[in-house]
Amino acid sequence: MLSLEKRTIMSVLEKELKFFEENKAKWLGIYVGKFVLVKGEEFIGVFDTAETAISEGAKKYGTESFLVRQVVPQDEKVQIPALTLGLLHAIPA
Amino acid sequence: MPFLHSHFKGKAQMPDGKIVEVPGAPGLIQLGPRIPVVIHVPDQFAAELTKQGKPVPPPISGFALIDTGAGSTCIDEEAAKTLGLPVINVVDMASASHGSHKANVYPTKLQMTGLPVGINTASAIGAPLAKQKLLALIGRDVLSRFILIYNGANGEFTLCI
Repeated sequence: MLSLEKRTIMSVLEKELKFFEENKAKWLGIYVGKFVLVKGEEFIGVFDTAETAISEGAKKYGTESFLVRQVVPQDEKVQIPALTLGLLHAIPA
Repeated sequence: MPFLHSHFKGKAQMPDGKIVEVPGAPGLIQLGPRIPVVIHVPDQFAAELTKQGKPVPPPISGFALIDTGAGSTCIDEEAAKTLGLPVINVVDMASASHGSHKANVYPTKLQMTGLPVGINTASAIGAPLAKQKLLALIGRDVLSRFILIYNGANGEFTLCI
């Protein structure tokens, strides 16, 4: 079940994520802190905010998926303890 | 200042049949600070769909739990798919059982029922929330635009813009 979920997620932006990783070192030198917009294996543009990158992506691709990611040395791991620890409905006895 | 105020109140029947009011604190403990919300296709995507002559999927209503422990807002993965939201990023989510796992990120417009503004969130993480009877978890990214007053003793909380 987990592997199926992982495969589904990876298949959506697989090309874009691979392209991002291949170019990340180069982009860190020129675009650090900014947001890049990538579609397939194509660099579309760089933006100051995620919102402007998303708006540009929406204009070009409608509701097709595209990648908007900040160029930072280390991607932050998202912390949602209530979700990942299964605490949403944990009520002390 | 627009605000949303929620006060839990309960009633209980005594052995003699008399109905009495009970404090709201237990209700807030059990259900948490949850508010009615509506998730829309974000404005920029709705505009593109309209331009293409395609229908904009209708918004989805449900409840969102305010979660000050969550760095990012989450929306139900199935709701995101029903709305046809595009995946715009994939993030690593810390997990208790297996280090971390990948999660899709969606652009989202979140409307809190009772507040006059819709919030276009650049990144809402898809998560299986429907089985918890939730449509969203409101994390610190969205809360950064509000004042939250939590009065656990009285079973009430207030969200102000």
